[in-house]
Parts: sequence; C-alpha cells; structure tokens
Amino acid sequence: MVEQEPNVDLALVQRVQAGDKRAFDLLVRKYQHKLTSVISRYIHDWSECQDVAQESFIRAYRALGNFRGDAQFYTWLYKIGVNTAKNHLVAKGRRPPTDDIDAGDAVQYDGGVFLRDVDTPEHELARQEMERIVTATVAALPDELRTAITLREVDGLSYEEISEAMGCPIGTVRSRIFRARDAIDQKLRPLMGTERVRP
Amino acid sequence: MNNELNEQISAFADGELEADPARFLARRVSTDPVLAQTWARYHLIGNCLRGETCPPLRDGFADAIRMALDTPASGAGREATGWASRTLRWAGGAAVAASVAVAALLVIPVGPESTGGTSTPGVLAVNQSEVAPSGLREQDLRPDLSRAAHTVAATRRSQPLMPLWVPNANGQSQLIYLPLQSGQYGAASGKQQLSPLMPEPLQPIQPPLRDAGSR
Repeated sequence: MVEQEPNVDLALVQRVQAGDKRAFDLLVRKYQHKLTSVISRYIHDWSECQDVAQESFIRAYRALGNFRGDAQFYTWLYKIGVNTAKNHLVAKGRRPPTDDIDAGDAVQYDGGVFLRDVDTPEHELARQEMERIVTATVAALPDELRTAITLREVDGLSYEEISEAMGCPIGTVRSRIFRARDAIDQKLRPLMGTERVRP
Repeated sequence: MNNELNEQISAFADGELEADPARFLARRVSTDPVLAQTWARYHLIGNCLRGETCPPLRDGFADAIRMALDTPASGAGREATGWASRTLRWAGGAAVAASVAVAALLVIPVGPESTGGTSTPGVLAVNQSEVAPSGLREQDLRPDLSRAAHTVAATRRSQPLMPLWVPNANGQSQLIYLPLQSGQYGAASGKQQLSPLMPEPLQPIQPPLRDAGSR
C-alpha cells in the first residue's frame, strides 16, 4: 500500500508551528478529500460532511502546537476528524456509530465505500464520473507512464525503487510520473470546477 | 516553465524533492492559488487511483478554512498545552480559595465592640432599618464556643474563640474557631483588642558552639 510522506507533512507542520499560516493550506488541500470521505462514514449528508471536515481542519490548526510528530500527521488529523464528527452527531441529538476504524488503519482507509451506500444520487454520479475519467485516462496512457504512476500511487514505491524496477534513471521516473499526472489532470480539471481561481 | 514548475510540484507531492527546493516550492505553492489547486488535484488523482474517491467538494472548500483561520482568534497551538492548562487551573483554584479566605477574614467581626453596633474598620456595616424584625436574639445566633474549646484550644480554655467560615476541600463552607489573644494596638486606646492567635515565630536553630581551644 501507499507509504505516506511524513517528511513533507512534518516539514509543513513545522512551518505552520513556526508561524507560517499558509503552509497549513497545503495540508488542507492534500487531505481535504480523504478526511471528508472518512467523515462521510459518520455523517451521511454530503454538505454536512464538508462542514464538519472544515471544522476539523480548523480544530487541527488550533491544536497543531501540541503535535510533536510522534504519529503521522494524517493519523492525528483522522482522530480529530472522527471526534469532530461524533461531537457533531451528539450535538444534533443523534447517536454516533460504535464500529470505529482503528486510527492505525486510517491511512489506508477507503472512506468512499460507505459513501456509495448513503449519499445522494447526484453526488454518487459525480464520484463515479471522476473515477471513470481517471481510470479511462490511465488506461489510455503509454505503458511506461501507466506503470510509473501505478507503482507510485497504488504500490507506494519510491522513485528509487521505481527506477530499479523499470530500469531507468530517477529523473526519468520523475518525468514519467509527472506526465501521467498531467494527462489525468487535464481530463479531471473541468470536472473539479477549479478553473475559477480565488485570490 | 509551467510544466517545469508542475513537475516540481509532482515530485514534492511524492516527497521526492530535496529539502531546499521543497522549502522554496512550499512557500510558492502556498501563496499561489493556481499552484495550490494543482497540488490538491495531484493528491486527488492519487486518491482516485487507490479507489478513495469521493464526490467533488464544494467550490472554495479550502479557501473557507483559510479565511476562518485568518481571523485574529485563530492561532496554531493556541490551545494551552496539558501541563500549562493544569497549572493554570490549579493556580486559579488556589487564587479563588485565597480570596474567599481573605474576604471571610475581612467580613467577620474581630473585636468585641463590633457586636455593639458601632462601625469599625474591617467590619461590615449593616443598615439597621433594612433588617427585618425577628424573634431571634443576637445571643441565639452565637456559636457554642464550649464545644470548640474542648477540641481546638483545650490548652487555652481561658481565651475566647472567633468563629470563622472557611471553604473546605469540597468547596463547602465549614465553621471553625480560632482562639483569640490580646492585641497590642488596642491597649493604647484603653480597650482590650483581640486578634486571631498566631503561632510564635520559630527561632532559628543555632549550631552548638565549639570551643576552638579544646581541640
């Protein structure tokens, strides 16, 4: 499975702790989908899910002074997200589910599984469309690009490991992975509605 | 140029960028909305490839968080650390307890003249016209000092006691009796002024003097 990049996360966390508030934005953008998916396990309304996810990020930011890097950042963030979701349910007079996921498994957790069962048809269609586009684009990629991006994202290999597996320099691996991502990104961008740039 | 930058973002997302370029790029991405969105989509692509898809988030999801954090009340690590909050809580509790004790000492009459209705420093003045008539006499409200004299000041039976309400460990008021002794300043005015008995200051222990000549 995918190995996290604790160095990137930790470096960003340390920058936030040093007073660089903007660095937290990168952590938000990195984990926004993943955390919202986890929260959707507890809260079935997608709009409400996003509210709770935003609140979780704000709580995480305020508590970041206590983060020492003993655990992975996402594991720590995951716990905050789950607690925020449960508190939200209690505040609404609803009972939180008792079948928790262990925080240690949070990194590999597939939050979408639960969402497929409970979300509205519109959201489910949008999710399926995104999945279809990514799958179709990856399938249409040249072999070397598809192999490189798959080894990285699905198998979690480092660039050095991929270069050994594919028998090419690390620079080539880096270029292939980028080209694969760029190709997928070109197809995904219209669906994301992120063309409008906010200052 | 744009492709080169995006390739750097791609490597940065994988944690495969050197420390210095990574620091520089992080600063740049965090201040450029277009690059920040590219960073977010590259991570989303990874989620999709791993089957961790979810419906698209609302427009401006991350921007709303950033704006909320820009308010002055927000700050990383604003929540007090564990030991700090515990210390503050204990200090606060101690301060409250001390202030209650001081207030009790100030409010409760100390001298015998206070029972005569005259206003003295440190004694709470009560407007007689506001007191509702009652069949109780002042003597009925006095505490039974004889009981306390057996326990608190058995060795000083001849001395009067001062009742005092103080908070106990449970936060409830508890009546105790302090033995009184003759004060100094009251003697000048010809009246016998009483004050709570205070322990005599301890004398420092002097080491035994050694005779240097005996060695």
